[in-house]
Amino acid sequence: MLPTSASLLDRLHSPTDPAAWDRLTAVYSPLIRGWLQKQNVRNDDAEDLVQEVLIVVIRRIPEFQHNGRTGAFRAWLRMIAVNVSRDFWKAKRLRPAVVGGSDFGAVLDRLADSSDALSREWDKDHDLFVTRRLLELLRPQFEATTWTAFERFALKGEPAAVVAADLGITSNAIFIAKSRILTRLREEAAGLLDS
Amino acid sequence: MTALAVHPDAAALRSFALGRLPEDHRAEVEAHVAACGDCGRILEGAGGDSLLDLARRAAMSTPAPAGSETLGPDVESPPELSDHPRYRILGKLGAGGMGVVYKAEHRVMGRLVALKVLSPRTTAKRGAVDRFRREVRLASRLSHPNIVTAHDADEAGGLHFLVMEYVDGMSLDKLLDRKGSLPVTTVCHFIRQASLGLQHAFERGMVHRDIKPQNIMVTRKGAVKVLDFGLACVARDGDEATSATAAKVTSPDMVMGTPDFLAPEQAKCAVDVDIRADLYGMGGTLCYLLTGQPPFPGGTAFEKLMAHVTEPPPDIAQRRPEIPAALAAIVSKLLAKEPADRFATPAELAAVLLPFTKAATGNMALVPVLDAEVVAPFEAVPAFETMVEAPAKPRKKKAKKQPVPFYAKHRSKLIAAGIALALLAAAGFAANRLSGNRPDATASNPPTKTDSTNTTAISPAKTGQPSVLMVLAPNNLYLPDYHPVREELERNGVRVQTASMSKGPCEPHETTPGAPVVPDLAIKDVDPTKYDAVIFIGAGVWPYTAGPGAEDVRRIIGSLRDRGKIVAAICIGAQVLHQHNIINLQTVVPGKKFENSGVNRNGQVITGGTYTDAVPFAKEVVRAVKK
Repeated sequence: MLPTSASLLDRLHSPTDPAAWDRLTAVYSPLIRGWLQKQNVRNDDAEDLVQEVLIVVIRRIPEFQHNGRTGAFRAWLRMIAVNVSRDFWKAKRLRPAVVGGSDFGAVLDRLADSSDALSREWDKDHDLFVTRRLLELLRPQFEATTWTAFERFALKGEPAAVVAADLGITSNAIFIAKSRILTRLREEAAGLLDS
Repeated sequence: MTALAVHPDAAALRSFALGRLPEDHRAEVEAHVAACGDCGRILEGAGGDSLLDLARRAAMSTPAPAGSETLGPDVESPPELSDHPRYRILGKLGAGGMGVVYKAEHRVMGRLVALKVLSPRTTAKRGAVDRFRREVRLASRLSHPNIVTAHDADEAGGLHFLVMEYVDGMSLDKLLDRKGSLPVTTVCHFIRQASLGLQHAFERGMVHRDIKPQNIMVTRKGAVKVLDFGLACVARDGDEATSATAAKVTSPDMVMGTPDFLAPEQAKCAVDVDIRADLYGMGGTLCYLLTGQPPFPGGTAFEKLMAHVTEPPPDIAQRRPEIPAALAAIVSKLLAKEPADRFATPAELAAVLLPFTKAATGNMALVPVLDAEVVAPFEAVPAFETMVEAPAKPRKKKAKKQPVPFYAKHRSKLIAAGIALALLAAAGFAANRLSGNRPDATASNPPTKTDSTNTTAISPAKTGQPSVLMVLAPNNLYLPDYHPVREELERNGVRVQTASMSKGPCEPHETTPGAPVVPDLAIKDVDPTKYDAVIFIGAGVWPYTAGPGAEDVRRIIGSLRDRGKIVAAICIGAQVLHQHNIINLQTVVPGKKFENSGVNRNGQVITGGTYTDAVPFAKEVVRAVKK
């Protein structure tokens, strides 16, 4: 039984869907945490920061209007992460994990500039990461055979006939699996990703 | 859910495959598809879109969030290879569809090698490892200067890798990216060398199966080597399994990357192709290197596959007028749909390419034809003799030192050749415009923010000093157009900056010996608001008319015209203005030979007919920018 068909972003606007917040956290916490760790932010500080960023997102999402511009949500999220991080850093609540580590402030400035190459890299990473997380989160909603068929045919590029023979299903069943999963992915990702 | 009685149309099927249909429509199509073999075949080849691409990459990669600055040296090599008894990894050379390539050193012999490590994704396929080993055994029998030698296949901790000759150079597609365009003779030389290598393999019963510009390398010393013999079949598996009952058109998922160079018989059934499929790939590669585009550039992977099977090959002379008709015919023959219609062996191809690898004689630059009122009379005495002499410092390559400039001595012969070629060119351009070819903006780098501190070693402009940009052909630069114009401009207090496709030296035309000219800027970095005029200098202007520089040229011309500034060109450079619809090169000036058209000004557009007009042309530009 597939869940409701509105996109994650749409569901976040609705006050009656607490599961949507869990989903947002599940998708974005690892992304933000990983990024902070690369900045050599210590683990306990990083946890605080991740929570802080998500709280700001939750509080301010009613203000966020997706105006149809590509990457609007992603850029908005990036700015929140940058601003929250900068506040933390300025309040000297971040102790560098390594002596002589990179200048966090300089990195933040670059990430605040949408045209900076670093920013664009962040955007690309965001898309890849979110897609991966969404796929991971969608997987349990499908039967194992359906998912494996999709993964091997659509993602890894194996020929349909081989996959069909291995799994004991018809080729057409594989195309149907691909269609269903991509439909769900597209729904979930609407507004979060560029495509 | 009631199934659809009739088949859904192709668009609906494609949307279904990509997850784009609204749910109720989708469910209907699904119910139909569950039992329909025909629709199944179409769905198999339905191709992808950006979301599917994203999903594929996401499934393959483990992205590290951006903003990371590495503190220590990057660990480049996989841990399984860090302690290999024979090889020490020196660094990463690149990555491809099948895996990553590392530069390594044999610990005992010190020999440099390249290790191609197959990705687990590749080796996980059934039978892949056996196929890999078999192919390597065959490939190691090949020993030819134009083939990258495979030394060994080995395995470490579950990672399979191939040990190959290390080639210090780059693949031809990267070379083309870097240079913007390559001279016809150079391209033919490269392909001919690659054909000799292919012939060697053919004589030993091997077929390459993946001939494309990315698989042909050229070393720093100019040697050409074909890469990856026999490996193509390792990545494209399942041929044996799918066989006759499956769809005749191979799923694009089976093809590595985009199928730009794939022979039609390979698209239909990948199993029993012969060397002539490789010749098709050579044709596609020739087309790409000569025109910057593969034979069928547009569309999805699926559409390209279909094009190889059903569409007639392009006439490359239409894409680049200076390609001789005989060479275009060779490319068309290589791209014939039926293998029997192509050359039978690579040796045949090498033989027919030989004449195109030498510089043709009498190949003078073309003279454009103008219509507008004459401003300055034709000057009979060439003004360039004083300046086009052997350069003061010795060139790396041999320079032809001639007491009398070549073109002065052979003027009448060159002019006669020039007339014939110019008429051909005019016809070519008319045909080009009629067939609706737009300049192809395939710039490999998007335009960067222009940086006003970009220029090197140029004295800062004095306030009020006029400034002119000269855009130079990256190859076949016609020195008697360039030098006299520049010197006249500078003599009159005009500041000159030069630009070309890249900051690499612009090689002179073979009939105009002299030192290569190193431009100040790459055209993508030009800020047109700094100039009062732009002048285009030929003769190899194809990157600016139909090649990767066309977008930047459009941008520069647009900016100058918007500001009411001067747009100018001399000799072949005028073809750039023609292609960008600034002038019309159609009418011969009545009563005169066209190279006598002299200098013409039409509003803010100035043109010079030929090198003999260089000084009056430059004077006219000076007059215009000083007003």
